[in-house]
Amino acid sequence: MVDTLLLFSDIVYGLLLGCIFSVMALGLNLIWGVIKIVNIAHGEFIMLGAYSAYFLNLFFNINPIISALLNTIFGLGLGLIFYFALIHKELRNKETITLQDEMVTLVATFGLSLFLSTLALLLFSGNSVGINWSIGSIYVGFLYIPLGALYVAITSLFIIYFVHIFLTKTYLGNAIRAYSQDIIATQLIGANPTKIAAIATSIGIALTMLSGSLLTVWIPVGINPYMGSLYAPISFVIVVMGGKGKMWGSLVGGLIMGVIIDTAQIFIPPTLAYAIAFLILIPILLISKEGILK
Amino acid sequence: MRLTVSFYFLIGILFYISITPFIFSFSQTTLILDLLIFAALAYSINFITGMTGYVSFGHVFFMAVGSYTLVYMSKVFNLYPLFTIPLVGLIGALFAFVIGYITLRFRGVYFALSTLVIALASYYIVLVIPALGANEGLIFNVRFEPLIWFYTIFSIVALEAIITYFINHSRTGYAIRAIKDDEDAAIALGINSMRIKLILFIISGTFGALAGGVFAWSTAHVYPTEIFDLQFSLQMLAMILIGGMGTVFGPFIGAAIVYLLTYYLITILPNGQLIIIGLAVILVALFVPMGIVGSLRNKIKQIKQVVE
Amino acid sequence: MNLLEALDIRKRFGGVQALDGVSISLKENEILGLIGPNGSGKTTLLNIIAGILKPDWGVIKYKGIRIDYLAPQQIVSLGLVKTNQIPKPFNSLTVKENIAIAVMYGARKIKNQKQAFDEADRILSYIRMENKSDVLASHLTVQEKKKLELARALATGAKLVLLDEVFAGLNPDELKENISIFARVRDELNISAIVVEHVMRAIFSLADKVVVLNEGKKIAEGEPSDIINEPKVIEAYLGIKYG
Repeated sequence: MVDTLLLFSDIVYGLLLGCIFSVMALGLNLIWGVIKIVNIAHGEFIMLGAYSAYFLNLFFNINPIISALLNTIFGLGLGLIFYFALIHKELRNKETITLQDEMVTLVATFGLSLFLSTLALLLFSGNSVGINWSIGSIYVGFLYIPLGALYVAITSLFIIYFVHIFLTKTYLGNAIRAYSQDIIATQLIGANPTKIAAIATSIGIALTMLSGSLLTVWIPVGINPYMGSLYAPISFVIVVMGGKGKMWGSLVGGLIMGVIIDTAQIFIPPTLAYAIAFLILIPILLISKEGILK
Repeated sequence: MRLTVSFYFLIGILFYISITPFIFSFSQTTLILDLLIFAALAYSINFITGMTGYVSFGHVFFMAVGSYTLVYMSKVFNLYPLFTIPLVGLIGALFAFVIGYITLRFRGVYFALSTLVIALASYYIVLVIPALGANEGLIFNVRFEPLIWFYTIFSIVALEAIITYFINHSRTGYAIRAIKDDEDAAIALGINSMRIKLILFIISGTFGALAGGVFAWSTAHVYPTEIFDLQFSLQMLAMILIGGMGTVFGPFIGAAIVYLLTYYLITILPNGQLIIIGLAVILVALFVPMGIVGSLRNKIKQIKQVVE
Repeated sequence: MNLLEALDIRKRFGGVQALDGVSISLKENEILGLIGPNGSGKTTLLNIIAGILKPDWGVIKYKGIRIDYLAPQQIVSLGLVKTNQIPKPFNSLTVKENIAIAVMYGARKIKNQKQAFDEADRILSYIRMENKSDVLASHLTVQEKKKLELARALATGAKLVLLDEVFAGLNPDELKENISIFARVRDELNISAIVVEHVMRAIFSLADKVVVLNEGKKIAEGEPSDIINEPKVIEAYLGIKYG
């Protein structure tokens, strides 16, 4: 019934899109896994990354990939502000997060989420915009692959690889991993917990924002103040699916979600595909909070 | 159960509100009508988030359920909306039962995310259902009856406030506070936390739907982008956070403050009220999470301890 | 009939076999001391008996009824309660309210608030904390929190209490006081108990019989004075801390 060619190419597109989802989820996962705080405003940072790519393209003709790199810098800065403004007060001198603290950060980041999206609405207007980055395409066999999507996917994979190297091979990266296991132990190896938490957060935000830039390739008319509410839930599903704190889980989860959403769109309208994708969260949680990927 | 001073105080305030249509002008009464809808929403989320600490981001879902049920039933079956109201409550309760049964097993963040995901997904799903008006929503013919709207929502709020009072002063109130402080310790002492959470969630869903129903009735329409807007969830959380979570008077005080803030800000920054409310939520959550009533209570306790 | 029987309990966590076929039994009014080095499975066993964890294998019977598949709150209703190793008081409530909740929801399910609070007063006098009855639980010292933990367990009206290291971390005076409180309670209220402890003085003062676990297996069982001389026990436990 369904054209297998179409299905196959959709799976490939899904994988390409999934690479970006993986980076999106990685940003969330880093913060969630390390300082154990869920950033409900995650989607809004993606939105900011997308808008900054849009404006960089509009005014300076910079392509999304370079914008992504620039966004890394913006993200690191914003991430630090985010950490010290919202999180630091809650984490300081605490070894574990109590339920009350968790509730407070959930509500605070929810407030931030609507604050940022409304701010964007006021500054950028509610119209949907997009970047037109057509640099051609290539044919792989019978598959038609836009080069933009391909480059962005490759960039995503590189980024994921770099993050992996950073976390496993550098001193700072190992300190961050130590912190996520045991805050007290981190002090024993001579690292300042606040510094670690702040850095981990800013890297997480940076990843989130740059994923927003990379995402623009897929949404030529989809950049608007409320796009966060479309991509944040996907990220949440991915992180839960792959296991909070497990970086590879985000990669695999991202690819899976990319494929699910893209192929679902053959049968049902795009927004409905996203909706069903969101709801996958619930069965996953019913099975296990630790994620269903090994 | 002993009725304390605060109960009589509550009855007094409710009585005073009930006679406002006869005291105030028409336009002022409609303002109070809107305020009461806000208050109804605040009390409804208070039952779950305020009392147990389970943050429900998706509470706007129940409001939407109520609105759609009221408009659909009234329109399709040509019923007078007031008669649809009980059905609205029932549907709200049913949805709450199913959703609560599944999601209340999860703790903290996972519960919050589940509710968020359900609200967002529902929005996109409704958009493609023609019977519910797809993305244009539904409108229906409504007689202009502000007085009836007023007393309907007033009854709802009064009921909520009184139920809140009785829960807080009952044995269950202690169990709820125990669950909020340490759910595992509560279970270890014999408290059936799932049952209590589910009942509270059903109550909150029922009243959220009822509030949504009256909202749709008084505005004669339901539009998906408007009714599923997460700003309602934020406002509800803001109201109980500012007023004082889990308390009898908190939701009302919070509603009044957020309401006044919203309507004042609409005149200055047409789309901007959410920025201020978002900021307010951040500040209050970080610095004054017990809200006004909570802080007052602590101050009174401190004074008592010094005096004794 | 034994009050409690746990037969062939097994539990695995990932790669670790926490309990490997442990069986214990308890008669009414008996106090069983459960000792063993860290990681030997003592707390896991208590958690399984209390219903907080489910065993991979094995049967638990309380008063002849199987309880291993029941939820914790159901087990409490039957009169079996466990304290928390690290005290978990309800921080926003007072000491008296903490205890009253246990009275209202424990095994007796007393609905009348006044009755519950009167009972809470009675328990408070047992643990000698009447003067702290209106203090917020968050403001208590460690010893006081441990006493509260014990008080709440007793307040449920349970006939079998599982005490998880309630005597740890106390100085000699506090220890003496807590032991005498528990001894009095046991005599007057006819309570049975399983006491997990590292503090040997408590075991010696209170236990009728002792079970020793090591690496998930039971390696010895008998009277306290016999156990302490068992070579296996000494070997497993190098460095016994005698009160």
